[in-house]
Amino acid sequence: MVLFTLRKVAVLIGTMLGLAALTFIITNVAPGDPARLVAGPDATNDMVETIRREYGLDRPLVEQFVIYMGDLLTGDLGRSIVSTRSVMEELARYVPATLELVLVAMTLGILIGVPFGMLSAVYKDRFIDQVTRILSISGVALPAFWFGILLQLFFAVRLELLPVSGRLPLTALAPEPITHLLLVDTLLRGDFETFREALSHIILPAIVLSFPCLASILRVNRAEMIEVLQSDYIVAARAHGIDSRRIVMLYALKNALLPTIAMIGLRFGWMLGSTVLVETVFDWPGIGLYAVSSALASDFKPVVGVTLVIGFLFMITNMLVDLAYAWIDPRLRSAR
Amino acid sequence: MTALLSIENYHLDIPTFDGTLKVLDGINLSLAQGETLGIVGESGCGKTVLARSILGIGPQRARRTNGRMTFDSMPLDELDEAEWRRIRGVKISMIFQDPMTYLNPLLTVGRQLSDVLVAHARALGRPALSRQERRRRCNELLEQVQIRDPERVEASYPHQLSGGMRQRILIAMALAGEPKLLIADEPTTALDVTIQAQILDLLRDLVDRLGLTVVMISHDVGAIAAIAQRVAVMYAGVVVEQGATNDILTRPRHPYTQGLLAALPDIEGDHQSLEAIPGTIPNLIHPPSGCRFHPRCPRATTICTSEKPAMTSIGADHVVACHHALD
Repeated sequence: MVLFTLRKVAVLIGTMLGLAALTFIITNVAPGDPARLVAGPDATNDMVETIRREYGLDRPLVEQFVIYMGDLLTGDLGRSIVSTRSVMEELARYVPATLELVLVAMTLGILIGVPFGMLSAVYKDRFIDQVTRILSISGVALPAFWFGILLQLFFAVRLELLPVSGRLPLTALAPEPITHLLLVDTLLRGDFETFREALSHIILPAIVLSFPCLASILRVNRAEMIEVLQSDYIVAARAHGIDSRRIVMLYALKNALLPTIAMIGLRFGWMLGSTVLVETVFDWPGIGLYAVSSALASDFKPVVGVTLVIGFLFMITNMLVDLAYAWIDPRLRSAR
Repeated sequence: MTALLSIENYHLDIPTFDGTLKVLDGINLSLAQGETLGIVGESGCGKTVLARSILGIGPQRARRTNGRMTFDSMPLDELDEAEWRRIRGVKISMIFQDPMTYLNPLLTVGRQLSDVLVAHARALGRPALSRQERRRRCNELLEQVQIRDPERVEASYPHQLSGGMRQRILIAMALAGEPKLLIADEPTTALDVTIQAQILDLLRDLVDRLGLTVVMISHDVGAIAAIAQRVAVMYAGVVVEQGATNDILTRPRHPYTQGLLAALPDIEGDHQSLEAIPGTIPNLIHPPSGCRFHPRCPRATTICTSEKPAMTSIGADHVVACHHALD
């Protein structure tokens, strides 16, 4: 298992380097002259050349690549043209917000999707199965922005139960950061009032983000459970007198979890991508919003930064999925 | 002597999209304590459905339409889940065909075996076993099925063990509750020939030593002959002939039994090709009228197409359901 983990980590590092190289290539083949962009529309050729030299854009591509990779390894992602702040600094502000949102949404998706998938498999074609079927079909079918606005109108505007948007009210003070995740930090600092505020702000965007993911986790888990429950070893377990709750919760669920976990991993990456919409609707100060505003301003360093972060998070998730697979299934562990 | 297991006029239907399968059509079997009964027949004749029905783990959609099963004077058809739990594995247990697919691939052998022990203790209302006791009992059970290094086997996952080893483990699990009745559903079919012989030896040894009552199901007449004192021959959901193993094998009276035995390769015989029974097993949604075997039977006459033959006694403990039984 240790060896397996090490190998996975090595693969992860390799893929990361690949992604970094890829982003470099894309930014260089993309049309448009970054130096001219920085200099602005009224700049003279001289000014453009000065900037080109300043940014190192006049050097050979290979050299630029080495510098770029060196900067990446030392954590330097360059500066945003718009805000002139370092991209790393800005990402440090926006990534935790997105991560928090995605983690809460994913937790919701798993906590609801897995048990209800299991229940609807055990009670196939009965009432609970029909209910979850409606839930999961709407989960896949409803567009996130529309569903988000609907929830805002109902829960925030009509019932006034929850705030419309944002991460915290303007008057609230975020706690001194530890993990940069508001929900965790407020709890660690014992600031329950702010925790309540943060929670009430995250509920609606998390629901919107988790809904399609919940739906697919539920359906995959249901389908797998139905199949596993018909397998020979379940028949054998019943014949040996093992009680049905244990059969469902351990014998069947453990086997059905494998494809479900693969789905969770895929959905995680998908979620990181779809935060763009949800963050826009809910004005959530995360990387989705950051990426959109940077892209609109042709501010390419932040876009590269966001790409790298999303890619990095996605790869980590994939690695965790692989590790979870091996942890659950001994056959994968022994097969190298 | 009262029967330990008795099956009377048992009818079972399985509804499907295409129509209702009449899987079992009036099965009569009875089994005394200590007896070993073989059920033989070709694939799809209802052997496995019958075996699983005895344990209440038949296909979910299966419906009993007539008849009953009694075990140890308990009506098996009327038990609820809680009552079944006090029977499965404890009074009646089962070993299966393919030892690979019948063990859970994600749990160690030790875990699965001790789960069975825990379930039995709970079913019988006994105090839970301590860890050491479970361990000791697991080792004991594995040694009973001639596994020499139980500790290693318990720590293994099924995929790390050979087919013969896995079948031994399944047998150990089936014997864990010291059942009165053991149902063996094609226990050697999925194994290599040499392993088959070992498993048969083991089973025969266990049957003798523990005085087990056994129902063994197989399409392998040789395997049945090795274990069973009596044989019932099944065809398309009907028992067509029943009697002492020796009688049936040497003097089959039903044309189907005769065909089945003639289809066996004979190492001493001089004929080159095997005699197959013409045709295939009938569609059980629309089974043939009268005797279900008549479309394939060389001796069939008009009466066979219209009238279902009754089970008639034709000797000491030898019954046959045929209008034209052989002499």
